[in-house]
Amino acid sequence: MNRIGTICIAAVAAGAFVTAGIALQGGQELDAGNTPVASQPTQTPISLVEAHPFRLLEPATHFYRAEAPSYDSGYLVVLATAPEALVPRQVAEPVLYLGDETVERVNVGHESGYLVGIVPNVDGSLDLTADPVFFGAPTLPESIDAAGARTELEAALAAGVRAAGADEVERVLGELVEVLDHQELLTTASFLVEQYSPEEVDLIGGLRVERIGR
Amino acid sequence: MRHTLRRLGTPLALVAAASASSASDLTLDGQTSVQTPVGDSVQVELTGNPLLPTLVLADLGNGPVNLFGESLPLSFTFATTVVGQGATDANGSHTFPVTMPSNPALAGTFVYFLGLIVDGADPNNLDFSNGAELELVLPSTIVEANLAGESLVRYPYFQYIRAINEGDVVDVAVDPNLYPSVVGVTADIYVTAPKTQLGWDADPTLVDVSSDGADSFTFVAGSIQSNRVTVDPGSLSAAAGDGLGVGYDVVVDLNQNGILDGGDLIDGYGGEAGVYIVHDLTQPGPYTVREVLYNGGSFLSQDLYYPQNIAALGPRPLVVVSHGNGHNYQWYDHIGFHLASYGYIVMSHSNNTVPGVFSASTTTLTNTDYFLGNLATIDGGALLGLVDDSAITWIGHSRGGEGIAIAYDRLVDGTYVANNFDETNIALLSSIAPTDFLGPTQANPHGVDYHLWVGQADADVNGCANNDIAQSFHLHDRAEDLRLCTTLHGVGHGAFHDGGGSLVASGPCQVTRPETHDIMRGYLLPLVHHQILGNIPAKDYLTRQWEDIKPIGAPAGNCIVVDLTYRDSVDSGKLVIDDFQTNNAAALASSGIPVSFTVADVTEDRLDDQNTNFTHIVSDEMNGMTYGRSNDTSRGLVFSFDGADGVISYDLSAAMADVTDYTHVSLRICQGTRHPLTIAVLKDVGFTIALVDGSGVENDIQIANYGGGVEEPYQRTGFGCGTGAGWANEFETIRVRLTDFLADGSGVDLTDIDKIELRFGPSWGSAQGRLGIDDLELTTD
Repeated sequence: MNRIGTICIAAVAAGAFVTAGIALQGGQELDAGNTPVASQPTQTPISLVEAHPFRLLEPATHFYRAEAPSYDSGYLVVLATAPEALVPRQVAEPVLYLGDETVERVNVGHESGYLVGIVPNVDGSLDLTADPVFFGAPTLPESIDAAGARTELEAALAAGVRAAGADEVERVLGELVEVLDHQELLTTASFLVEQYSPEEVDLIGGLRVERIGR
Repeated sequence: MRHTLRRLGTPLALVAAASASSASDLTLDGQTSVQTPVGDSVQVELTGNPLLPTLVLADLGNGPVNLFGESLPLSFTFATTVVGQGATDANGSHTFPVTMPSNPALAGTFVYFLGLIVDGADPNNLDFSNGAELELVLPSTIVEANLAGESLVRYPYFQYIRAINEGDVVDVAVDPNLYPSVVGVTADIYVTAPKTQLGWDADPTLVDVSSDGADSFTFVAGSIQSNRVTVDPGSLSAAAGDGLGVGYDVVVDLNQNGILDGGDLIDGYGGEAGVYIVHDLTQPGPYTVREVLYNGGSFLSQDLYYPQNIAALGPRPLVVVSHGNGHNYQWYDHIGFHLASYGYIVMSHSNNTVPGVFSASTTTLTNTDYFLGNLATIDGGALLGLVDDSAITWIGHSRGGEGIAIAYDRLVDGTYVANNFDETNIALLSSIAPTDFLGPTQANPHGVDYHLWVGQADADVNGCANNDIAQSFHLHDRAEDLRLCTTLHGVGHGAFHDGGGSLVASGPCQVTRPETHDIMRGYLLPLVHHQILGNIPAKDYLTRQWEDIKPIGAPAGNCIVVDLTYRDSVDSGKLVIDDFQTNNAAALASSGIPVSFTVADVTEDRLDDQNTNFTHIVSDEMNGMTYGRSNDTSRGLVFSFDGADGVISYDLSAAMADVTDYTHVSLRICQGTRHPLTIAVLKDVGFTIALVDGSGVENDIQIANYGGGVEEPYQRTGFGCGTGAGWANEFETIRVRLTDFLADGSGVDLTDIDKIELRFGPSWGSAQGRLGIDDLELTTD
């Protein structure tokens, strides 16, 4: 089992995560109805637990950006945050960023508090030691372009969000993952989901279903 | 059709010889010997010298009897009747019709006629005519009629319907005012296996299949209530295999000869059976289902359900399911197994919803394309050549629900070109609690048949006025052609899938996931069976109110409240009286006819709440309406009535007056949430529909007499949606059969309707209310 670092990347301000006074009762499942969106998403604590660089033989499309850019490298990450921050919504939910790049979510994570994500290194500038992880304003990621992502990053930095230092990144950094394509990357990610958010049985199984036609 | 017999009877010749110089002349329909069907009329003409008194007699015997010095061809029995009395005109003719008795038992009876002109030119001042004879025969025509249905406690006392749930009684009613030939007749009523017209013509033998055999019933004059009979106690089979509804024809055998022949009434003479008995639609169908999971690559994971014996069935229709955000493609077993057990191929796919709804639309498109293009590979090629892609159904949940509309829009706009299908392959969209991120320019079903599910307890796509994205009704009202909506009280967002976890619900009287799935199964099956396969009785479950008919296994209880809307397609031939989309003044309907009002607080406008909550304020006339964004165009009318009667009256044009080509008057109607007049009642609102003909004859029917009313809004609070209780206004469709307005001899002339009126107030239903209406139409089915 990999080390489970609990490095706090974002500053934890008092009352940073506003729950609107909702005390989640024992056994009550978090959902979009009983868990409002954080009023200041950037203040939601989120930490880097693992980070695995990856390379794809066949480039993939990053649908979490308006430009839908192509990429063939990046980081497969495990993030830890408050479960409430990961409650899935149909309406707009806070967009997850690493630096000025949107993060593709592999799992849901609202029960475990762990999220496995894919961070494409579209322009080769991704730097875990300099790029903080944070939640941005609620919207649809596919509506965010490069300029918009940059704006979100600047706002997060202004709000006190900071990147992990080199030492911390070295602590969480895993081995290079080289796979054929995006689907194989998802299959690889399923093992991280199984480790950190094992209750997502259907997702895990669904990512490992037999591939046909290749 | 009448037949003329040539009888060379000597008595006729003798009468003619005795008074040849001034003999008057008597004919029946221009003949001296005719056959006339019972109930028909015959034209009597007596000719002689002009301007003289006349008398025409009829009797059952043709004499001869010597009278007044003449041998007369009439027996003058006790049955002798004066059938006509008057005078010859200036041309020497007295012509008048005589209607024959309608009792078919009289077929074969001869009736003899004799005319008399009081003529001073005659030797005895009595100019007797020749005799004429008429033979009563059975009508040659079979009478097609609505017969089967259910009895009602109040007017119109009977509802003719297509579908009856298995185990329920089947009643028959004949209105003696519409079918006078039945009066006084003891008939045998048969429930038979269905035949086409050709089948009946080839073999008119009547064989009853109900548990109690053919029912003998004597019809009486007067009212329809007195002419209703149960013809089956609930024994009829509904075993339709993978179909929906077993058809039966109903025959009223008036002459009790065990043959369908002239004069008999039949429900089901044509291509449609008289009545259909329907099994529990929530239960699985006859086929064992095979489920297969496979992965075609990134976001091409698919969960496939199909009948295991599909090779023997041949090509079957395809249903694609696109899940919502945070959901999983394996969470729709309740849809997949159910529809596949009835022969459908269901493919639920991984949906790329987290980036957004446009990405979700892409995966709907790519997965449909992948499936159709890789049938040789999927499950070892088991479906190759067996997928009917001519009428694909797309079902989408939440972001997936918007995604399917965007996907269709992209096909229509040509901004997406698939390899293996195009928009003509897509026959039906069904969105479950969809979002509306992209608005009318992209999240638009255009003219494809469109269905919407809304759970009024949805705590995610919550429907409050403060968030356009969360208002699912938008997509329904953008649909340009046939559209349906199913609104469920107490159902949360998560209840629609079977992935477990939170129901994502808020509000009172919440409905469980199993209950929601029973409702879904019971509605989805008739939806696809009707829209895709053209199943006839399935339509009853889409158009009749839930309180009137629901699947046998549908959950019961006070918390189960289901409102249904149905708007027919444009090419159905319907007549749109007012859809409020043009002629924006309330006093002018979209059809161009004038509208007058005596209800209060009338406003015609876009169906869009004017602020961000459901709090009642006078200035927000459209409070609670969430059917469009600011750039949507759906319009309707709202109004009030408070303790006084009020009317909305549509003055039909001359071109519209003949409504006999239509079957129902239909409209969608809702209560206005949190309005004082709604809160004061807080239950179903009743009202009346009235027809007024060109002669001023009118008749009206209270919609409550069919068992339902206009549902009150779901009493939910919170979510920053203002003060008070009550969620978004939810339309439901009310349809009344036009011929119901004829019941019990009302006298309304459906060929000359002058006004259609919606009547409200204490005389017509509920004493008070705040209502909204739209889509007032005359339908053809």
